[in-house]
Amino acid sequence: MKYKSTLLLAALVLLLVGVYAGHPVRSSDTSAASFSPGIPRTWDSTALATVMLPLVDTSVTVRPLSEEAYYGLPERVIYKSYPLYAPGYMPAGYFDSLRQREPEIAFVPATIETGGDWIRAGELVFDAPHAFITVDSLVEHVSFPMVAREIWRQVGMPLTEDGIMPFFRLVVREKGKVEIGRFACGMCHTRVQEDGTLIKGAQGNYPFDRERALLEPMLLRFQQGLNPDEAIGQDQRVLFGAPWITHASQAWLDSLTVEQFVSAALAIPPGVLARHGAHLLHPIRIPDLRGVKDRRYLDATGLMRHRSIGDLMRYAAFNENADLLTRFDDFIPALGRHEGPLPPLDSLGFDRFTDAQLFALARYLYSLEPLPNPHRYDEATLARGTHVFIEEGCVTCHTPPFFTNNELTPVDGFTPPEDHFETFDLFDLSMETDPSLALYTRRGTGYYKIPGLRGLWYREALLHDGSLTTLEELFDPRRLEEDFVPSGFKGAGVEARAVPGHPFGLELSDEDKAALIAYLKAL
Amino acid sequence: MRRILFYCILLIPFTLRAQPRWHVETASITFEIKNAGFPVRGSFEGLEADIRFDPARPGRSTIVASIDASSVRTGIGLRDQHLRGRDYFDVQHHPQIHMDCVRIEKTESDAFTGLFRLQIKEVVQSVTVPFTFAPRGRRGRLEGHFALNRLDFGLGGPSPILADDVLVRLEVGVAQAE
Repeated sequence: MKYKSTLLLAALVLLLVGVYAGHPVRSSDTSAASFSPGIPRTWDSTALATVMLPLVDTSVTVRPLSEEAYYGLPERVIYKSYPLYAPGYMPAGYFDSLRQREPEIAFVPATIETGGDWIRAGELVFDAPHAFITVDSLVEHVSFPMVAREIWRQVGMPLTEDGIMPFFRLVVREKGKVEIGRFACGMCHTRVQEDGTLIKGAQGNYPFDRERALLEPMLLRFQQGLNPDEAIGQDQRVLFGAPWITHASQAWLDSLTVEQFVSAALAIPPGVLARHGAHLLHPIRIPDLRGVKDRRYLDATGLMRHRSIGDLMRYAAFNENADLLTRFDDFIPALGRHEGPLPPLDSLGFDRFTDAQLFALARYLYSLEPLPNPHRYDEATLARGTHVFIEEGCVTCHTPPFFTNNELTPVDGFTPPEDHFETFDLFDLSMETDPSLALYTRRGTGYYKIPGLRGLWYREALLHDGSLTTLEELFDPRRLEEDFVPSGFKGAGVEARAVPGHPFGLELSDEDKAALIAYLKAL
Repeated sequence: MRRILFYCILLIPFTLRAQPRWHVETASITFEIKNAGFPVRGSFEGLEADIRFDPARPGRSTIVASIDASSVRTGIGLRDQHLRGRDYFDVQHHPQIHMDCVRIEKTESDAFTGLFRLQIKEVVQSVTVPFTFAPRGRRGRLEGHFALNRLDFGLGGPSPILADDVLVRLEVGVAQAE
């Protein structure tokens, strides 16, 4: 009875909060009515000037690619793409039938009329790869069957019920040539559940870094005249270099060996990614994009503000190529130390999405809502869980209706400058979690974003680095001990370590803990 | 005229002496605020008070009190740390919360209403505190409560879940000074 009244009260409060809080960004129009949007200019220097949070080290001058250089990049053409099946699942003659197909451009702005059209077009963009390797030979001597046999099987590539690997797409850009397309948004933001169900936009579970750990040394082995250690080190400095940071993890990049690279990359589990701008030693939990329209900051470190759909387009462009071409004083990740004008960027293999493609992508992402948990919990448990959620203070940061207050928390070792309190949305309290990502990487702002909890039931990487994979672990006080064995990211060569910080719910009774977990999984 | 002034000065000590002075033996300073519709309870410690109070002549009483703002406790350590920070009590710059009475009136037997100045951080506001005082020999128990709007004192900002109104309860056991 007590919990029934509690539930009613909580439901009322949470409903009122939902009405009060509103949405920071308007949701998408999914109707079939004609829709003529004003497409924002993605690489708008005025908007870019205020979209990013400052780095921890404010002495570093950050200059994004100029409008002229950005719009001088070749526009990306999005072709029709096809699923890639794992060996053993491929329909007979599949590759041969694709070889007979003519190239077909899939994203055609002139055919987009309604709000629903924009969303469907955005899904094409979401799935559009921009790096291609032929199925016959990735490089000389390295074929698709070889990779599938030696790597994808080893890293446990998730498959849908039909045996599809949804992280890749097959593309015909030239008749007679079938290519495996990689690096679509969907590569990291697609999840295959244990039962083979696909959830697009969710925290992905493509074992990206584990694949890299095995694939990149294999590719290097077949390339003549390369010093593997130097080549690996160079690649990682492009991805993770931040020479102004005087932390050991930056020096580590300078003397990296293939063996160290493999060890570090293998230590990164699915759901976590050594994304460019982060670090192999400080990877990031992949965000769940479902519900992104309601978030005020993008990236685990709140790197970019989300004030409008244009900002989401900017964020997508930044993560495609623009980060690698940003100047940090005289350092440009793609080029290393570099002063003076940029060389021709198309010659370096860079291209860009068009503004219409990015707009469609953002409309698609805005249309993605967290999915309800198919597992049902009993009402009494949920009522008790609601009570615990509020009583333990979770509700203060994970505030309904989005279950985040959309604020940033400073990490240990960073004191927010006075002007940040006026400019940004700060919750001035460190959660005492590991600060490395926020302090020692080029995505480091000194903050972590308070994540939304809707859709928690289909996430496996928790905390900003995915150290933990279950809520049971999160609320287990033993995780504070040095001999704790986290089920998620531990780090290369680490068997056990403490997972400090976010010390909430650690002293709950077993019953309250179970109720809280049920409540969180039902959001 | 000089003679009148002389007698007045002579009378001052007797007037003060007429107000019994009490020292604090026990103190419970608690507060309650609703968060998402549920009450959150907290407390402060470190009450220091100069209480000169005669229930029979409350109009001449003086009460000056302060508490240690950093002693705030709500049962969740990290939340307490947040309350001590700049968003709330900012204890680094404002280590104490002050209260002193402007006037006290008797409303019933053992029941009074005090008008106090309450200072939290840099904000001073008047609060009305109904309280009771139950003497037992040379000891007594003072119990009162008052409400405040946390936004008036810059304690956090507007919130869709945290209420503005805070109920403060005071329970102070006192003993008459020798």
